[in-house]
Amino acid sequence: MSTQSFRHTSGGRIDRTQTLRFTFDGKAYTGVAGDTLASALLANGVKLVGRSFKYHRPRGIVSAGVEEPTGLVTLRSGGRREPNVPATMAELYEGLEARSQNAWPSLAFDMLAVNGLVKPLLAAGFYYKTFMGPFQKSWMWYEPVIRRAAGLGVAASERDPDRYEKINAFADVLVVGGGPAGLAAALAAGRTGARVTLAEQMPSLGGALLNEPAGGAPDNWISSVVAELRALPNVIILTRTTVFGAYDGGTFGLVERVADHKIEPDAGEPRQRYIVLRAGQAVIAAGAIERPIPFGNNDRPGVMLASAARAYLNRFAVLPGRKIVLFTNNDGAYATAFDLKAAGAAVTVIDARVDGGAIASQAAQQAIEVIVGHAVVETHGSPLVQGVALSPYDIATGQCDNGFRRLACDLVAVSGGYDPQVHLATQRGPKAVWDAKRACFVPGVAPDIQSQAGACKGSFATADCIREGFAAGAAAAQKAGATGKPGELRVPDALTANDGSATFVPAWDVIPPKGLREKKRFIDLQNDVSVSDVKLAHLEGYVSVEHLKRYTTLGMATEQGKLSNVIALAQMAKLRGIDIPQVGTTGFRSPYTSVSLAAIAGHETDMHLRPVRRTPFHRWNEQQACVFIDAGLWKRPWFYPRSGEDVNLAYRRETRQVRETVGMVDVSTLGKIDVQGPDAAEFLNRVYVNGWKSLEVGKARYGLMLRDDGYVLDDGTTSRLSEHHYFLTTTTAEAAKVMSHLEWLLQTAWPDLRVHVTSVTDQWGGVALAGPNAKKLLADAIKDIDFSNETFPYMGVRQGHMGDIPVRVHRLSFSGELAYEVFCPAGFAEAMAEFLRDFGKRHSLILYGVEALGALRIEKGHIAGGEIDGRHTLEDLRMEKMASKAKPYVGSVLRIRPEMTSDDRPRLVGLKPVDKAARIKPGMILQPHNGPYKGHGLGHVSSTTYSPALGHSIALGFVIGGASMEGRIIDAVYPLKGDIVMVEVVPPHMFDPEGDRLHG
Amino acid sequence: MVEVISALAGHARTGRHGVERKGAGVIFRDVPGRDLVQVAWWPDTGPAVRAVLAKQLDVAMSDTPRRVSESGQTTVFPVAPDKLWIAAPMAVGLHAKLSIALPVAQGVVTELGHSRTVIRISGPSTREVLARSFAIDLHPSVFPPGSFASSSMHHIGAMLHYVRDLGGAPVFDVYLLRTFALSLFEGLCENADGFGYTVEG
Amino acid sequence: MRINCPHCGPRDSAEYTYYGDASRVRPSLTDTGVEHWHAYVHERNNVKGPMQEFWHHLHGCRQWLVVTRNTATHEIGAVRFAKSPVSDTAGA
Repeated sequence: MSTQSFRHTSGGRIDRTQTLRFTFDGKAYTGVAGDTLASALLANGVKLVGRSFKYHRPRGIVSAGVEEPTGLVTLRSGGRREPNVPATMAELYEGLEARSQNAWPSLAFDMLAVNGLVKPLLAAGFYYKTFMGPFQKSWMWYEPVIRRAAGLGVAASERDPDRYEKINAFADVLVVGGGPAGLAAALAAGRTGARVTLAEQMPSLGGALLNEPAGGAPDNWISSVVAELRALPNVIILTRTTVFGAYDGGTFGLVERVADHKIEPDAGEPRQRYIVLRAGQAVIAAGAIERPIPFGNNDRPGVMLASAARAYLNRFAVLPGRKIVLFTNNDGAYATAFDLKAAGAAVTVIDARVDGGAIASQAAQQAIEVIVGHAVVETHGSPLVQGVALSPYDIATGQCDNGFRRLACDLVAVSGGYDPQVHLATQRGPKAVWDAKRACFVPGVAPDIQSQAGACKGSFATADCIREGFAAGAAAAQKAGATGKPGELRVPDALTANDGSATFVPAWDVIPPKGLREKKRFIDLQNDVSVSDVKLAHLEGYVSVEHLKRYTTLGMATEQGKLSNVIALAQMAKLRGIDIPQVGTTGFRSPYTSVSLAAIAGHETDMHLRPVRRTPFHRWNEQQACVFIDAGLWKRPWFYPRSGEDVNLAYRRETRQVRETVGMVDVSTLGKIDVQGPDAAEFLNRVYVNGWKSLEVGKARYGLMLRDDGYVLDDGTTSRLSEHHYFLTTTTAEAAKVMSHLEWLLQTAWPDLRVHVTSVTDQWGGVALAGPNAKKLLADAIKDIDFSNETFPYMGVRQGHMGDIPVRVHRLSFSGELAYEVFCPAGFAEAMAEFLRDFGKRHSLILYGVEALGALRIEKGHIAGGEIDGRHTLEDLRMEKMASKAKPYVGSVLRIRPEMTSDDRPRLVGLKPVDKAARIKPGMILQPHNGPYKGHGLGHVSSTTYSPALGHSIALGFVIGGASMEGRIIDAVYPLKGDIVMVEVVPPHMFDPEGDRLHG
Repeated sequence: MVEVISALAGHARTGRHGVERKGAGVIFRDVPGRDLVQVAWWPDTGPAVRAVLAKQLDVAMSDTPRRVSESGQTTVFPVAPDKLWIAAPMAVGLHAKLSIALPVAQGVVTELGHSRTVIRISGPSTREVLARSFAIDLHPSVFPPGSFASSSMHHIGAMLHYVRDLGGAPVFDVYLLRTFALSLFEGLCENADGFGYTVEG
Repeated sequence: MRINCPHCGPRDSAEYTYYGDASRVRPSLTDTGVEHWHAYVHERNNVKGPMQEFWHHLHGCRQWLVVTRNTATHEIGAVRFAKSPVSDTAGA
């Protein structure tokens, strides 16, 4: 077994001095720098690289590019393991480890090839028809078995150790594709001074020109253009970069494979980079992909595209075979024959056309046998191709005439023409259009900012590509506003060869002659879909292109129809007796080729998955050994454990201590909105249900807001700081929504009101001080405010100083205790906390978190997020008396619709367990005691806590009948676990119902 | 006098970080103690308010959209058609001055100095680092010195200001909501890791 | 998707939030007709083609905009401030 025995002695665009070692299925091989895994394997004579998806038939390398359907391998290991990588796109590096897929125990001897024996049962749609019995649940048994046998590669389960990036980019002109058309377009646009980004998916620029022998006129042309491009500071060239999607507004998705060609990324380098690029104009020069011709056993390793055979020779100096049959319906493929012959292979051309014309004569002169009017009917040999059978062929009907003969060979190079890559154009909507003369789809109307140039719009001659590209680039730059001149671009004479498309005749099928048993003719090599599957779909009525795809699975997975789509359409058209354009084609959606989710996520993973929002007291809270809880993006203090306390012990202690002495809780997360202007009071009057015109300066008022549909949006307290200046608070959860709501009203409904609203949530830090000692503590800490009840009554607002810190104090109570909210500018928050803690020592101040905060307010029956959840009305919350009858407000009309005020709606109540040791759980459904339990019952539990003041679990909830149910016993039910707790309905204010504690 | 504590206090590690390379790609510096005041008006009172501001600020107000006006240490950002933000040293006492000078019938003043954390980013890789956070075209041909943009960074509102060039490299200020500042700063550091960065403190 | 804000210039759609049909006429504050409010709050035409929509430039200038957008092609047409007269526009 000699190494690299198929490496040609000269030519190629590789560096023979750099030997690279790699393994495939554990076996060691060598390649050279510049190889792909595919070219290196072929250089070593390795042709069998995988087993097919359904039938586990042996498969090899078919192409030299992204369209590779069967040469899929798994690369790397551990967290970097990557399945389904086309070997044709994997650049070789030292130490590369690759493994074949979908074969057990080995490629050569695959047990699951037995699937091939039950082929008739595995025809298209088999899983809709088989695996149906014998019992109704039988599929549940079959499914895991099939799942284990199906699929290609296996994904990694460990963490990916590499970094990925997402980056924003902008360009006047995006050029997609670095072949002749793309290079010319980038040059024209670049010369005008426009900002150009050129993206090429391969590591090198040149596109199809790289299939030409190295060192000739094409390479010279490429070098000179690239040199000029690299000298232009306004041109960015991205190689190894695929433009995978075209989106609204000239936005494109690109993925740059920064380090895929290295064993691991360099320090600080990402593995891949997702680029969101916004372009003023785009020139799509995405090229075309060669189309095969189906014939019997055309899936054997040793059958590949003609252009691929040429690529392996001229790009990689690899002879893909020694005895080659070229099967073609066009002149262009003859170049493959000429080059392979010159490299020393024996070549026979089977030309499907009636007459090979001038090119056939030229071939004959080079001692290449040309057999016209014939087709390759089938290959023989397994696993590798050992020869073909050929028959006389009628290209118009696809039918072979009687008789055949065999020819030995080790490579069949097939060319059925070219399919323009119309994806980026059609992703934007306009369907591709059938070009009857060229027998291929071309882009329809160019969508939005795109234009197409070159092979991707059906121009296959190099000179045409260059000219079109140059013109498109210049036009795009001009449309994007560039004023410079593109100058001229001469097309070298050596590049003006005819593309041979004039003499192309489509060949969609090779129907075998009588006397030769029909072998499977594969259309989709990746999904194991053959001509007979298309016939079956037609027979069963799945004749539309959408049904054809889904019934047969043609064009799914990574192949996405690149080699199969058009052939299948042509065959369905023939079966239906209509033209190809009448069959139509499925739309293309991004991505053009696979994109890793890691690249899409970029750096927004782990601690950067979403931003963290911290209050101005956060660091101070950390120093107090606070335990935090997530509330949306906020970190809120949850509880402050003393030694040995869990959350339950801690919050019960905190709750009790607040009511005994005084507690301090960080309330900075409340939404705070600055409302100012001559019409501020009028504005508040319109957005709140209650009246605001009578609120004096230095006073606060509780308010409820409704939505336009009459449901409660939010509550808060708003304070009048001066004649035209108000400080409005919202709940933490609704802060952003209320802010947008107020701006929407001011800008769209009442633009004449002279009011400005500004979010000041981040400007202020705030704490609540609650408990019998609160007043004394604050009087100690703030010397310039008189805290006596006469001067500073409940709902008053005063400004003063704590030391040097300016503070504002609102006498409000969420807890029902004597309480104050104290705000200071955020940068002073830590200092204020320290100050209060110091002064608090002599008043037995404790710290409390949101768990205790919740317990306190539930004991008092104060509503919060569990009750104001967007589904409740004022009546539901027992707040209807707050609503003014004297003025209209947002929601005032729709809130009085009969269903909104109906007595059948569940209304706010308090709940106490009959058994004091029982626990009422959040979300429990309330049902009649001892049933019948039906549907949504009488209501539900909205907030729960253990009440230290009462010594048992309590809850707030909603019950049909509301206050009229007080005193009754009902059941609180948790159906998923079967828990039932008997509860007594009570008024919501379960502790200190008279509110005496407020006044200290 | 009590000190204004930065949102990054205790968390921003000063020194050189990220990939080893000659010279840091970017330098981060937290700029505390800058005041920020918002002035807002109504359609018919715009000219009167501009007159008051011109007198109070001694800044020639430019009409170029998306461009600041500045004089000395005072920078004016036209953040909305009917609103300006003014950045100045705290010592100027802008909020008090402007509140007195501006009758409420013409316009209103809001103190925002504690609501934002300002991070100055400078160095040769500044634009590359910012491109990983902001979907704003920062090419100097469309975003020249003096340009600013209210935009978003990782789905959180943030403002970007191209202050000037220094030693051939750009200097930008990023205004972050205080409550998100530490988290977003950590994101900027993550973005700068591949370029090498220095946190000055 | 990019929306050209009249104040800030062209920006990614991620800076905006969407609020639906801007062609509805809000009943006046003192209108007590339930049917008027119901139609305004709940009833919509399902437009295929150009439509006027409210977009809030949340992460920019915080202005509410009226954007003409084609719901079938996604093409953005005229953009103007919601509270300004039609003349104060940023073109397509």
